[in-house]
Amino acid sequence: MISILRAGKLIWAISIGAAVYLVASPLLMLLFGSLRSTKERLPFEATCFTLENYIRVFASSATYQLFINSLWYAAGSIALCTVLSVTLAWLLERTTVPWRPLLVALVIAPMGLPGIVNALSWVLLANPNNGWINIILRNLFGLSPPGPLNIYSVPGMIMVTAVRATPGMYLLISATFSRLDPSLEEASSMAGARGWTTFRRVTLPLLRPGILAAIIFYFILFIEVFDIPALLGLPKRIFVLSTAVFEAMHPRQGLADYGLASGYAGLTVLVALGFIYLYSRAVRGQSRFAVVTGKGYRPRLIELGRWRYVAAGMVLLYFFLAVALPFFILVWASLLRYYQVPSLKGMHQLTLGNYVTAFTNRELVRAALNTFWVAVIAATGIIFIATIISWLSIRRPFRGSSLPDRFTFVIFGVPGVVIAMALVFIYIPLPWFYGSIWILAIAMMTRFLPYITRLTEPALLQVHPELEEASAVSGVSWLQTMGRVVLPLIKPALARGWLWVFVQVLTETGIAVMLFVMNNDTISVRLWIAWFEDAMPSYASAIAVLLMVVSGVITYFVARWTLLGEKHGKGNIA
Amino acid sequence: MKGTRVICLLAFIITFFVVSNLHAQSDPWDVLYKGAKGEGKVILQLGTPTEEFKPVIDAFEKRFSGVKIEPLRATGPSMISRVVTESAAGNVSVDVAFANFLWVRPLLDRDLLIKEDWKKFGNVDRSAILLDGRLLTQYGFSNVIIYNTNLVSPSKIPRKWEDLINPEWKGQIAIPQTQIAVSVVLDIWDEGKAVKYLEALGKQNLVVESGANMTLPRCANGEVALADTIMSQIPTWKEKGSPIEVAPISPQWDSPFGLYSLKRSPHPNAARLLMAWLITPEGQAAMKKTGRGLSSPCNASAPAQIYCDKGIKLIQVDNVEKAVRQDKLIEKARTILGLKPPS
Repeated sequence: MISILRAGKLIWAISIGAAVYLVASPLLMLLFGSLRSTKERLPFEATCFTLENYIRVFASSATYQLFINSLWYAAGSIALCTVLSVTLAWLLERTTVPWRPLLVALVIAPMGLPGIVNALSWVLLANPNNGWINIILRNLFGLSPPGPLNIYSVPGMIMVTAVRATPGMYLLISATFSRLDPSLEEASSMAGARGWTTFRRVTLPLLRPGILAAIIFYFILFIEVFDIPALLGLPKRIFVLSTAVFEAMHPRQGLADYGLASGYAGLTVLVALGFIYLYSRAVRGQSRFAVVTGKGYRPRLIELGRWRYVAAGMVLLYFFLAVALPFFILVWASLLRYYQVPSLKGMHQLTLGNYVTAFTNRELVRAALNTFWVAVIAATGIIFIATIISWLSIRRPFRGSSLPDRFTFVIFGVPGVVIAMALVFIYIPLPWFYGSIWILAIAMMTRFLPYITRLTEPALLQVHPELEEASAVSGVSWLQTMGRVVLPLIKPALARGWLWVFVQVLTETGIAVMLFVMNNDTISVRLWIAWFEDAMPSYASAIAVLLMVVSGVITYFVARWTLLGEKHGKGNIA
Repeated sequence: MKGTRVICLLAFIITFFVVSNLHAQSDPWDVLYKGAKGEGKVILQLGTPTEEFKPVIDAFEKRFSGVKIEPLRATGPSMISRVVTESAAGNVSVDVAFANFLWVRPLLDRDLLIKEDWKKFGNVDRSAILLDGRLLTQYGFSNVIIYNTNLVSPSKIPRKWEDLINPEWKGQIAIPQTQIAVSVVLDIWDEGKAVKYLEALGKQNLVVESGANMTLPRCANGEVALADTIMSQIPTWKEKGSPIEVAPISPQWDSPFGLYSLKRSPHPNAARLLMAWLITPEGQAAMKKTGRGLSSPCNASAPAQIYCDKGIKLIQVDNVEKAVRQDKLIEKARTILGLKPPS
């Protein structure tokens, strides 16, 4: 029988081993592929090592244009996303905004939408020729086509990306907001500082680790996001790194250029390493950010007075842009045999045929079940591993214990499609694994592990070590301390993390498409096939609508259970 | 005497059964069918919705009871990288797939395709047998320019390639990255004229799609007035009532689209059975019901009839050398039009 002491160490070993394997195996295959494969040869077909792929990437001016495009796109998206999510988090976690449970659920609901759904809805809404919003604006203001809005542009990509990513970022930083001890802000107010000064000099510095963590990993996410730049950038030949990788992996004929794709992936890894360094510098001095200590506190809300309904209106406006408008246009498209702009004439052609097809399609039912299981396995596995290696990184019980956490960062910048490619090469000789949902789960865990450690670390940073020390002094083992002291305190962050991974898996398209063999399809694969391969936008819209409804319902109930289960707003109001 | 007659009768009966059994065993269809039944299924790659191939699937399964067709959705080009990788690992997931001459070249280079003497099956269309039995023609993969009838009045219908560079079509043409129809001008005109034309076309603010099948919906939904697309989907979309029509712009590329199978496919007998059946009159009739077929003569298929009705001439790409030339012209057109990804 393993003693409690050894059980703890066994858990450490398993977590470290799993984290290292998940990250190292695709990285090594990536490195191997970049040094072996050429334009016409797979990695294991080529007979010698070569630097040709790196020369092609780093010596080409096109690469730097790609890099600059990607940076502009990512920077614009992160700026807009940060403004939206910090505003929403502050309104919903720290103020007396009315209807809070409903508004939180409405903000989080769009998380379950694949980027491809957002993108194709905005193509229908704002393409310069017959986008519905453009037609309305032209009729209102007497303008002539094309435009005035053009979704096939970098600003268009930024807008759709930021609006789509806001719920996820909100989820990551809202935990930090909700755990803030308002007595620090009260002390500032009592010293005579105004609200904005208090926010700038007291609140923001305390929130900095959480917000910085969210900014950094969403920046990397935006460097490698694929679906929105593919739908909105490629029609006008606006390339970013992710779409250049995709084009290399899906040439119009011949073999995929794995070497070039690996070379581009190497570039994004370098970018990620740069951000890892910046992040490490930003969060030095962990105890300065500990806000959950042995002393008791009650969260308090800021009274908005007559502005509370304006605040609620702002949240509802976000929901309208992020969900209601895209939902409407997709529902409209799904009820037609072939798409046409909303009109009275079109109303006579509405049909439920696409939904009948969807509900009677066995492939879609199978895809839904696959998606659910992959999401559950990946989310649960990631939370377990991330919690342990983050704790090891922060508490440093032995020399080198922070290395696994730092190591997971290395895969941060690798595009999902490249991770999938590497896993194909690794697992293809195993027929029971290749083409199963397990390879999908492994890929998702590899992809999202570094993101979740950026969530679990700030959560653990906010728990002062004195709580664990008190437990240890009382003779309680590490395992029991974790179970009874630490995990309950960081439960909101873990719940958010689990939910975040769950919906990211629901919506992940690049990896799922790359690893799809036959019976391991997911909902996003079926959507991709319906839109890109079958060229059936109305049927694709029907799938998108069903996905929106299901993911919205799941997200709503999980949000109520995990985020709104804490008593909030019951204490004194500042 | 009576005993002699009985012996002769028995000998006759025994000889009859032995001879008929021998005949059955030597019939290649029966041999193949027996093997296929043992395998139970054949995995067929489809680059289009499964429902469109229902006539073929139903007819095959009715004819060869006990052998199911299991569709595998994947595009033709993506299938090539996948089967090369899977073959190298010894774990191939598909039995039969579709390709043209160019797509199949990496497989030929690596000697991954089965080579069969299809003529031994009798009653097969021998003209469909290409590349020494490695590729069997199924239908024509041909280009066309379409227009949206709600956006283009009869007097404005483009009738020749030059019409596409009219300023009124700026921002109104969807073009694919693959199988670009307009590349044909490099074949029919002198180079100077063709390059100048393509440069002018490149300034038309084209809407670019990854594949030719994606340009059609953009035209059908009214986002663009014209589209460079492939013919095989036109009949299906017109049946849905979508407002598209074929423009009489001529000539157009036409290349055969065929079936291949791999040496390490998981169900080799079923694969051969399906391929052989699809080049019989029965199989070809089933394929015709999907709306697909050869692009000529006029009565070969619905698309062939459209070409005849519109007076569109076809440039046949019916061997590897022509396919290589077509590919070079398409690459050149992509470069001039600015469609190539950065590298």
